[in-house]
Amino acid sequence: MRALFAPVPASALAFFRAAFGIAIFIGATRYLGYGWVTELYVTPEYHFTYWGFDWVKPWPGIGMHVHYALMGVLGLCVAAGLFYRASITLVFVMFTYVELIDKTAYLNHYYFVSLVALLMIFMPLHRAYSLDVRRKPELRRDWMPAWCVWIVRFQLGCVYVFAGIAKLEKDWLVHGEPMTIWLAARTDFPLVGHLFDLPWLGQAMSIAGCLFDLTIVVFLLWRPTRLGAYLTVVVFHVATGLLFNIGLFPLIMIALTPIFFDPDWPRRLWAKFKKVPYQAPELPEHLPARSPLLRQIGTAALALYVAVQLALPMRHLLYPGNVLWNQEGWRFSWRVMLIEKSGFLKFNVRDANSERRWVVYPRTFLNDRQLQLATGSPDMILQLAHHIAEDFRSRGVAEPQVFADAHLSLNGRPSTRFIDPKVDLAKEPRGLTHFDWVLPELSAAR
Amino acid sequence: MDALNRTTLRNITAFSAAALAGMALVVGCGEDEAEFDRGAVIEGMGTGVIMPTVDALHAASQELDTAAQTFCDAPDATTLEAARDAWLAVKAPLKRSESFSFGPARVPRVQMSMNVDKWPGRGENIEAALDTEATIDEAYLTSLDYRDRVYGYPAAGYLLFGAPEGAADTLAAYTDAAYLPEKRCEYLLAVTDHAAGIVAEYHNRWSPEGDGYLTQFVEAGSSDAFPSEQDAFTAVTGTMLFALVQISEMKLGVPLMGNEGAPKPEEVEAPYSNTSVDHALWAFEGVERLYLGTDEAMGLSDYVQFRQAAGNVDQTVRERIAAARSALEALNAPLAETVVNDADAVQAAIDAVDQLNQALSGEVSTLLGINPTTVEGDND
Repeated sequence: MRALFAPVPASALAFFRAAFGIAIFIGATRYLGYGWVTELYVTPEYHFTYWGFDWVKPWPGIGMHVHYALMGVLGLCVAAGLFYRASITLVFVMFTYVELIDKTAYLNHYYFVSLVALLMIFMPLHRAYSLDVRRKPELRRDWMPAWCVWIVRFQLGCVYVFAGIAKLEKDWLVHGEPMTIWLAARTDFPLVGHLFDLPWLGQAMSIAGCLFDLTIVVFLLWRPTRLGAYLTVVVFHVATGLLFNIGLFPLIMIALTPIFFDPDWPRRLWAKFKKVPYQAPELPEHLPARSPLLRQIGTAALALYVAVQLALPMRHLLYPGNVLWNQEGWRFSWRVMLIEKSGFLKFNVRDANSERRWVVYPRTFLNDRQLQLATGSPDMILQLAHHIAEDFRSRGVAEPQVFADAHLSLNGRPSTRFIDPKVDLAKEPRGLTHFDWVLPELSAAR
Repeated sequence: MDALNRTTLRNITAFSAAALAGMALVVGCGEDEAEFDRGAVIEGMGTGVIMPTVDALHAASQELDTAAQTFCDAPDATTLEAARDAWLAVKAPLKRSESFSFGPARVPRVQMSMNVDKWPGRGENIEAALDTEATIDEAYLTSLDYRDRVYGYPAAGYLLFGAPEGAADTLAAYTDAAYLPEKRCEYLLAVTDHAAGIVAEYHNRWSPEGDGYLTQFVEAGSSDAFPSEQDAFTAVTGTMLFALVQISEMKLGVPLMGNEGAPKPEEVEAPYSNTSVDHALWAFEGVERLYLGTDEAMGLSDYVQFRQAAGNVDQTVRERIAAARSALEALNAPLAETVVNDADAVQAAIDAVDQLNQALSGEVSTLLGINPTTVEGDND
């Protein structure tokens, strides 16, 4: 406990703050520059909101563009440590807000960004190497509490370790899927692409990826292997970034993983660069005395956060069936690059009070990206069924029944029926309980 | 500690050198191994299916322009029949092109589905639009709301096959002064000319002699429009699937079930020419050709066969193509009557097309690692 509140040099955390803020800026700029704000948040007429967060809606007009532009500016403020507490709080709120608008925008590294931003609100990262210190010199400290370093290490560790645990399954380890599928799709990759059709390569890379995820944190924590481990992190993420369309994930991990080095590594590096003797910052023996109650609350909050982060990725065990197939307990679990799903979805609608019937193809409401992701996600299929039922009610059909005709192919297996076609989804509730209308995976044998 | 770091560094250097050497060895060995030429499939789809279709559409649109002029110069049964044939000759490649409605089909100046093919033509709206003192030309047409379906080839379909209320037949509308024959011809010529101009722009954008989108497509992997071969497969597969949904939902489903859950025959694609089933079949052929290829050109099927290992995905797709074609061919024309009199047959055709869609959007897409999406974004 005492170790968590021991003072440690601040330079590594300041670097972390700068890297994180710049990542926010780059991310917001990419979304604006590539037109993704319009495509993901402005154009779609329907959004898959999270259960309990249906009130989160995109801003009207140019609101979403302003939102992203402001978020980019705030990212730079965080990086520079300018009005840090307000900036990072707004970054957390604004980033999380856009993530809550539509489930189809969910990515593990966006979830990671939200979590880290939340943690950073409580960290005094503006007290060193910041414009806030320049504004108010009395803020300056060359040290920070050790828990700030350890909680970030823990969070990064969760990403790797749970991603590795999630890979301990047959598709990934035995069949090398979906890696084999993805590699075969990149045979035009410069220099080595022609090798990607080799039958053993997908499996070999899958096993290597799993070993990397499971062990890298240990090697990063152990000083003798730390530098090698970090270089491996760089190579791994550069390679996956070049091979797959995973956006900022590699950059974020490469930029933030140096937090595993000693807390004064930037100062040491700087001294080496300047070829001057390294001078360690003077650290107090203890943190300034604070209210014991405040410290106890802080400790309890940290413990609770850690417990939640350890439990959430394992919650799929509470649901029957294969999580790759039914995706119950899928999100917020660091299940990275595990599935290649494609399928077909349409809805048969009947009027319970007459013989009238309709067929609704989801393209009526969804763009291609939403459709592709919704087709493999039961919760989104249910949500869309509810939306269709509401649409029919608004057109005068008092009691519409909505049945999904859904077929899915997972990791190269034959396409099989995904949702029980006899279940009226309009009557099924949303929530966190098991969806017993998701049919079992019949084509498990490949 | 420094000694340890030096040791670590040496180990890393040695490991890296070994890894590079190993990679070089593997790369060297790999060069001799047989591999599948995905570029040949893309080239086959581009030069063997897409460009011939676009060329045919372009030529047919010019011929329709001429045939419409000949008809208006001397309206009689023979010139009308020739103009109708020319219209059908346009619609066949136009419908086939729905299966590759990416790139040039979507650029603002072209927008094929909006400017050239917003169907079905609405006779009553067209009659109202041609009853005007204004000169009917391209400017006049584009001042109208495209959602009223008053220009493009569906409108030309009405003008060549339909007739205003009270007229004995189409020809009578062009010879009897009561039906504004001069304005009618002016409208017909403006419609065919306007559509032919857009088709010419569309053709120019695809053509290697023009803007060269075809070149970008067949050189996927090193072109700006298609940085990787996968981008080309994704684009084609996405529009093939979209074309199949259009057949199921719009061409057959809406006339069968409408918005009220009951048949809506007036929503068939070509109500005046009674060729709605042909239209569905032509659209289907576009998908069929891209998948199967031609005698001279490879299709998606060749790639699926290579990737499927011991599976039978390609066989499944071929069987479903055959079943869907049979179900569509089994529909008795005209579709406007079939949706009322033989709803089961129409439903069977929808189901058969959806079965093919299932195979393409399921097994094929996952086998080839294709996410058929046109909306960009990151993944993980």
